[in-house]
Amino acid sequence: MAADKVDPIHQFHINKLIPIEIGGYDLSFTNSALFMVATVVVAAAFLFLTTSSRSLVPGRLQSVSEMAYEFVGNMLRDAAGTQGMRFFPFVFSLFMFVLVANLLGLFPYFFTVTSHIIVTFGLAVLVIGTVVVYGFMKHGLGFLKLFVPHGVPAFLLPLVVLIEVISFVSRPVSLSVRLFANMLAGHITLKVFSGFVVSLSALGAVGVAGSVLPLAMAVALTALELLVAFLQAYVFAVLTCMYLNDALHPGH
Amino acid sequence: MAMNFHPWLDGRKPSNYVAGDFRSGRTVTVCPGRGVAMAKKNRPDGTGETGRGNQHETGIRDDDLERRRRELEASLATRLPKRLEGKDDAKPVTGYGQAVKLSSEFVAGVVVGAGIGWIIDRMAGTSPWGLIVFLLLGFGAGVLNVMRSAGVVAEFGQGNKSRSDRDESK
Repeated sequence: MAADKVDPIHQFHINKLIPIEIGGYDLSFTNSALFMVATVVVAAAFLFLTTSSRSLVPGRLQSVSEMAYEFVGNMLRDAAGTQGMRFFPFVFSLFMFVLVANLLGLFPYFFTVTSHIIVTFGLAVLVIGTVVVYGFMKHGLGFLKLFVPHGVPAFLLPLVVLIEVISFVSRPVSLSVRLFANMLAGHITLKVFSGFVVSLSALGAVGVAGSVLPLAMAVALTALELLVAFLQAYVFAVLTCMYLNDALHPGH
Repeated sequence: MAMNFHPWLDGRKPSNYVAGDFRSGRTVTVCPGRGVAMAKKNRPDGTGETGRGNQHETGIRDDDLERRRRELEASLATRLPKRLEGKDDAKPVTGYGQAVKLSSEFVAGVVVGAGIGWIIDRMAGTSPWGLIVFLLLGFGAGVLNVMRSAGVVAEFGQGNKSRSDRDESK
């Protein structure tokens, strides 16, 4: 029983809850999908219920919603200017989704959606896709100026442009890897330290006394994870704003 | 060379019959080696010998310059933290966050470079070469990513203009 509990990877397993298969593709409703739906429902319900009273002097929960709105709004305006505000719904949804998914993942026995790279990579590709499509729509081929820095000698230009293109393509990768790695590493560490508590306390009185240390560590790590959950959602949203800024003003 | 005859050429003679303040900006122009521009800049080394008045004026201009420089610094200070904060955070979480951030940037560059090389190899059948070349390019891109996210080099599309340059031009 103890060996089962200590396995730190077990929490990331994906189980099929409702097997669905359409045209040879596995479209099952998994625990990951369940928690994505839960994330959307929780975020939407929170925002809807807290702002439904629309009081002029906001209550506590309403002011939380308003703070979230203003936080993302200011972030976007700072990074991409007033023109960037047309992307506000997109950035705000992304921010709330990542934030709520991270926070839900902190509950024991809950599944952390953002600890799977395919989820974070999907979000990042959505961001970069928006940047590329909007950039070409707005600026046409002028968007390619993004890859040509000023003041580079002509004979170096092909090399530099190639490196800039690779650097651009690596953005969604680093964006997704960062979120995924933070969540994965944090949850594994938490699980390992909690596992120490279990296996140490099985050793008798000395073990129980000794298990105080990993327990304290697990408590501290939980607080850290709470911080990381906020921070990674913030970083994700900020970087999205910066990339959108490139789409709005290439060549700047 | 110009410095050598400078003191007696315009230092002694005009001081007999020209007022100090009037003398100041003009005396240097006599000297062929240095242009009017030099006189306008009012360098203390060249014009210092010409009289008290000149030094006085230099002092005023330095004061003015100093004041403007301080004003610029103050206005930059109000503007810069906000921009840096908006750019990326990760400052609250110290080493760990920074480490994950920078390493993910670097790894992403290398991985994407290798991936592009591999795809080119598969499409064009140039077996090891695409991978080799693009792995190296990806390495470069990774280093560029890291430096960019550390704020050492310019952002996308901004070329080699440094951050301070852009601020002064605004």
